[in-house]
Amino acid sequence: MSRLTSRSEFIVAIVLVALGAVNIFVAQATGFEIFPRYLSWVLMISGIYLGLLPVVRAPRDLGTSFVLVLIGASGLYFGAELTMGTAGRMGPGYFPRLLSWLIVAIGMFIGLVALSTPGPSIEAPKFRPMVFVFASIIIFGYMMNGFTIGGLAVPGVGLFVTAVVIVFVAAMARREFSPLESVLLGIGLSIGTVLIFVYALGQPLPDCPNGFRCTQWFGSF
Amino acid sequence: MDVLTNLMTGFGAAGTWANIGFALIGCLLGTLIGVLPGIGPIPTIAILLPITYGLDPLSSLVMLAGIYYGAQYGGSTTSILVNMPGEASSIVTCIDGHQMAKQGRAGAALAVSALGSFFAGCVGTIFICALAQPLASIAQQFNSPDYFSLMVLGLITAVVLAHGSVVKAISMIMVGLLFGLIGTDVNSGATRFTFGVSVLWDGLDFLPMVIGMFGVVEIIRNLEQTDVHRDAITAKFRDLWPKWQDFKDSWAAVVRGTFLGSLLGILPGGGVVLASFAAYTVEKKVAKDPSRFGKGAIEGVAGPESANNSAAMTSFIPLLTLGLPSNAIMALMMGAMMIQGIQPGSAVMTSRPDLFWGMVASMWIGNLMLVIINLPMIGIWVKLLTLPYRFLYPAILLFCVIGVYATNNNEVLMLFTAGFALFGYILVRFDCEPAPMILGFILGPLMEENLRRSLVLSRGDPIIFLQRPISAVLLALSLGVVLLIVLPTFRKTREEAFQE
Repeated sequence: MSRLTSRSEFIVAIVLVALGAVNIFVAQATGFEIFPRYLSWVLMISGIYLGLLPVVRAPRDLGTSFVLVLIGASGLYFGAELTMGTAGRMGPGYFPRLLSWLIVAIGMFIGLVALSTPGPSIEAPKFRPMVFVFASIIIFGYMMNGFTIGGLAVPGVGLFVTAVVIVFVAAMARREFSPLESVLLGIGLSIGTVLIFVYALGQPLPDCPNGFRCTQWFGSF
Repeated sequence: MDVLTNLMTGFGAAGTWANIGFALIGCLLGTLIGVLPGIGPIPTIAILLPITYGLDPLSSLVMLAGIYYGAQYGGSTTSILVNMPGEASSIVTCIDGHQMAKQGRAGAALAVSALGSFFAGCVGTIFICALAQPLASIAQQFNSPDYFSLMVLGLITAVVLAHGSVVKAISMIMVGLLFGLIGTDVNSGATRFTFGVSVLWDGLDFLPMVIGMFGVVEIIRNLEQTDVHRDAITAKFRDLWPKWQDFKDSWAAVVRGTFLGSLLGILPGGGVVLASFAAYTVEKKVAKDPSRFGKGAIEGVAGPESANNSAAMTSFIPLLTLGLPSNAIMALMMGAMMIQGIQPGSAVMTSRPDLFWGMVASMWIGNLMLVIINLPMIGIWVKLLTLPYRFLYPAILLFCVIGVYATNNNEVLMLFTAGFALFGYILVRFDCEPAPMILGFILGPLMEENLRRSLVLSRGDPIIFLQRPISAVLLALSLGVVLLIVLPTFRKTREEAFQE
């Protein structure tokens, strides 16, 4: 992964821990939270792991450890209000808390091992494929269901149009992107999927605007 | 002849023309998606799962079986032709299968793999019939503590037999268990980790998770590798049928692989991967000239492929009799059954015998369809492999999103899908195989329930897990498996086995 210099990483790490700590401290003293308390914990944990990055020998394992500690800690944080109960009469919080602690423990164990055992470095992610693939997934939901923006309700446009747009957005994930080819591919796939999913398999999907089947929609004129 | 009458019931229920049609469609679609490079059986089944939702339970299970076998076979095809295994069990097929393809014997490799799989499927069906009832009656002896210990054993063996880091796999199971608890707690009615999102009240939907973490992550990873050199074998396919000599060379391997696979498939936590690795090792040991292996030995394809398929069959046994999935694919199958309102387990056998035996029969039908439709169509699948990825991935992505969306037309599910894709991507970047998470996810609520009940019985004393004989034996076995990992000699063999 592209790295900053160890020194600036260290400074960023300290800043993150300090930000988190200050927020919790202010919240304790005055009752006013600058940002949610959960975020302070996330910042502090991230800071600690970032600070460890220069000294660690297996960065990928350190990454796993970070993810696990974060998940376990979130489980403890958001499960805090659930009643614990006793082993003989378990409340809804018992098993989640048990699991969360185990996850934190395994995460820390992996992190400790990563300090001494060498391992490969983390490959740099490429953002282009990720951004466009995620964008097309999320756009799909909103284009099918419609959305409200600034008091203006935009209706869903149906699978026909959505599929063309999705294919177009997805095609942009490649650097060698050809608009014309993508539109043609989109139209082809759109017709194919509508025929397969909506008509052949009878899935409850609207293929035309406003939640209609096209057979109904044309009839409504 | 209980077995025969049972099978007749099954074929009577599943063998209608409509159901055979569904098996056929399922098999075709399964192969179609499964053959795409880099897409293993897990994402294939996940993508196609929503299609089966609208059908009645038996038909949907029949179609699912078709999809499952289609996906498995599609994976083998890709391994042999492109040398790109979609999942761990196909890695073994790659070794000799791809060499055969390079020597122009791809047709023979594919045909032997299909016919061997069919034979294995037939034997596997008989195994299920013979073992289902005895095992189900054992299962009725099981109490909550026994179930809990069995789940522990299953999860631990699953981890040891999977490849990759054991500690990371255990951690992934734990994360899966935790995610499985999201939603309303059945006992107290309290909502857990729902963050006020109403979709989460019934629990986290598992399609966004599976499709995000396996389907979408695969697409992103393939897109990151610019210009992957795929040396697809596009040689002539006129000589599809193997020569007589090929049959003579491979039949013994098929039989050995089938029985080895059937046995290994039943183990809790066992399954396909172990079976194909073990079969390959056995073939190498038995062969008169082991040096041929790795250079296109037909036994190296026939043995593992048969083992793989018979294990795929018999790994249904723990699911159908005990209600416990032994690997990620079985967890997916269990999820699909639960969506249909069927809680797999010995209860199904007594309450809905037509459904239970119909399911068993449908597996055999799925296998038959595979041979009937796929052998003549191999040419088409090969054509599909030569399509450039820039045409394939938008289509796969479109199938993924439609699959998720069609479950309840909610845009929040799409956000979940993207979120899980990001999560899965991060995990893969950190060398953390996410497949065990599905197993944990499906088992989470079951495990909590059985732990809870056991401890209610004993008033909170964990000694109950050692007092019950079945549970104690299962826990001792689990401990034995853990010790095996720690022991350096076994660790070395395991690493070597996965190196090959």
